[in-house]
Amino acid sequence: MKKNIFSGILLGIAAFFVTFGVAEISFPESFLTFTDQDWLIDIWPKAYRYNIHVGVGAVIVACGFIIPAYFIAKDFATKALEMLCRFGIGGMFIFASIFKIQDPHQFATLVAQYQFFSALHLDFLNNFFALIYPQFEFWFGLAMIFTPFVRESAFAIFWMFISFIIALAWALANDLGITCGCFELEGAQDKAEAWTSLIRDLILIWPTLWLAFRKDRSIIGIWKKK
Amino acid sequence: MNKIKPILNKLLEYVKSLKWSVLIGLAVLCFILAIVNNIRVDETKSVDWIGSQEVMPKPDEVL
Repeated sequence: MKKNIFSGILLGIAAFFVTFGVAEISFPESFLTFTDQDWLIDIWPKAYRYNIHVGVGAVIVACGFIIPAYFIAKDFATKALEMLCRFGIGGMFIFASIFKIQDPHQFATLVAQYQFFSALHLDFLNNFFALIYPQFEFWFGLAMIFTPFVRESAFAIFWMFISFIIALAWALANDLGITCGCFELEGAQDKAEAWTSLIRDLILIWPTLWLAFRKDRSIIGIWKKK
Repeated sequence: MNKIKPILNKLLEYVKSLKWSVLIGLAVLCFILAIVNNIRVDETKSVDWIGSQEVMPKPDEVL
């Protein structure tokens, strides 16, 4: 019991660092970040430029807490990690999809700027993709949290991550307009935003892959004795 | 090639072990809801079913 409690505390700290790290990488100037805080910028004026470094560092620190938590109480730590990953990744996809579902036109315009479909001579698919993809994000995110089908939802989310990584790498490699901050489009502000999204996705794809090989059971079912 | 084949076989077994009825069922649900959503939103926020949006030209000078 004491081992489980100690492992739980370490995992709680790790969860905080992952949340903080992902916020630094992807959601700067939110309440979870500190590289944009006035008191830090007074001491270190260029702190805001290092949000990616701080975010990646926070994720590495989180791993430093996860490893001992696992070795102290393997069974408990694995279950807790699965629960945290399902809530975190599922929640992130649900949150990310809401704005895209509310404004399909804005999202279709953003997708068009990547010029990915035009490169494949499949421009006609752009709008249809923009309509259906946010639905995939929302419902598979929900399925990951509220259904026992973790393998299937993680499998789908894994391939969504692959598509995001390919699209972002494509945009950065081709130095597309979305990376210049020239357009007032959410998600197309500057190269740094494209890089932060790419790094975030490259980090989060790994726990998703791990979830894809877990046993199909609900979040409550994780904690039930066999 | 000898090392790759067992990995590919394991991957194939994994893919076969997935509940494809759930995946396809959710995909069909998403398709239906995408259509409903495009009808539900304002005209200014909806898009043509088939087509694309304007690709904005990148300015010569980026400020």
